[in-house]
Amino acid sequence: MAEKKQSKKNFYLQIIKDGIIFKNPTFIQLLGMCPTLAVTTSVSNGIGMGLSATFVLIFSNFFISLLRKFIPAKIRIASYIVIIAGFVTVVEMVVKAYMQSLAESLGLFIPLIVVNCIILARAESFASKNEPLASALDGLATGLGFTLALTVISAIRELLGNGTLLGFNVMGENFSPALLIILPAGGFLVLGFLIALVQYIMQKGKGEK
Amino acid sequence: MSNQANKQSLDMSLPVKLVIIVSAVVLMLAVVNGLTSEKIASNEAEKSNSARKEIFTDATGFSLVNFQLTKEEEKSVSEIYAAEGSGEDLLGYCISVVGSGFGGDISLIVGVNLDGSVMGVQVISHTETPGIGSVALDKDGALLSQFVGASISEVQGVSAVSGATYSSAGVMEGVSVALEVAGRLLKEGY
Repeated sequence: MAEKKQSKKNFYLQIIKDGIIFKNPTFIQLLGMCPTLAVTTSVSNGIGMGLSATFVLIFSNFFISLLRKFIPAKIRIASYIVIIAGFVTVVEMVVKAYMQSLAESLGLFIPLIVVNCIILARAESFASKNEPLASALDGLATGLGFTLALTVISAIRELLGNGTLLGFNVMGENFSPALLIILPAGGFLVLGFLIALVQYIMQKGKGEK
Repeated sequence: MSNQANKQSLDMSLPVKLVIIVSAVVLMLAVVNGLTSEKIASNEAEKSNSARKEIFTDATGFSLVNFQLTKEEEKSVSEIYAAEGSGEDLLGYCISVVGSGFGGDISLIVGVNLDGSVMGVQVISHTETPGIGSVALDKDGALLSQFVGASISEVQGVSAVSGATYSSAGVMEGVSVALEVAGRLLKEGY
């Protein structure tokens, strides 16, 4: 009995570690590249996008897992999309009503969370096969991994491309920002370097074991 | 035979189940919409109102103007408000227009003086790329401040923000339409 409890605990711990680090949706699985490149021009956008997606992930994973025996395999993708789109629309309305400045800066990218492949990927590969609680936890962990990745990318891009962090000027008067980093090409460059760095660290970790 | 019948009944369950899922989602959205729609509408009205006040700081009131627009203008101009001073004298007009940017419509409120020049431009909503096109729409940014005092012939001479050419052009287009409408308004003496 105690052993079972222990293994369950390990399972949950593994979900959290996988979602945030070992199977990080952005750096390891390379999912959701469009929002990753598009909204990471400022830290507040990155965090806002990450948390909105996290909210959708938790709820869509939970409900898809809850309904996993009810949803027939043939129409599962259609059902998932309807459920995901529902929660995204909820996020959009709530953000518009109570977080106006975030709604303005993210604009179009909030409704586009519907087609964010991270959410569909977690629904298909995790929520449809696991218990609701574990699925919600997986949604939270994957969402936090996504948020973490967006925050790191956007911090680098905002700092180098605009000389600010969270809107505060931190580089001083004489710093002339490299506009390229804010532009789309800079997004690809920063992402590429970060993926390389993560791979390097992962390989090194493996080698030492 | 029985296999076939089985298949048929299985297929019928698919649309039914999908309808159930869609109905549940629609119900959820209806509830959330009921909770937030009023707040969203009042947010938007509040925003337009404060934008008008920001353009005409001396104005004590704004009243809606009914003005016959041409078909072409109707596509982009939505509302016209007259700004009134303390003695109910006319200070100018606030014209709500839409310009087309890179990612879609940019809605603006353009304040026009009695001499037909721009008093100020405020952005109400847009779907430009965050951090790129949106830079052109920054309040007190390089683009919007150039319009202040410009007459209709001077609008085309405004220089666009680099990296945000389409967004800048969208704003210019909106301002030109607003100035055209305002020119006719002033001529016809509303």
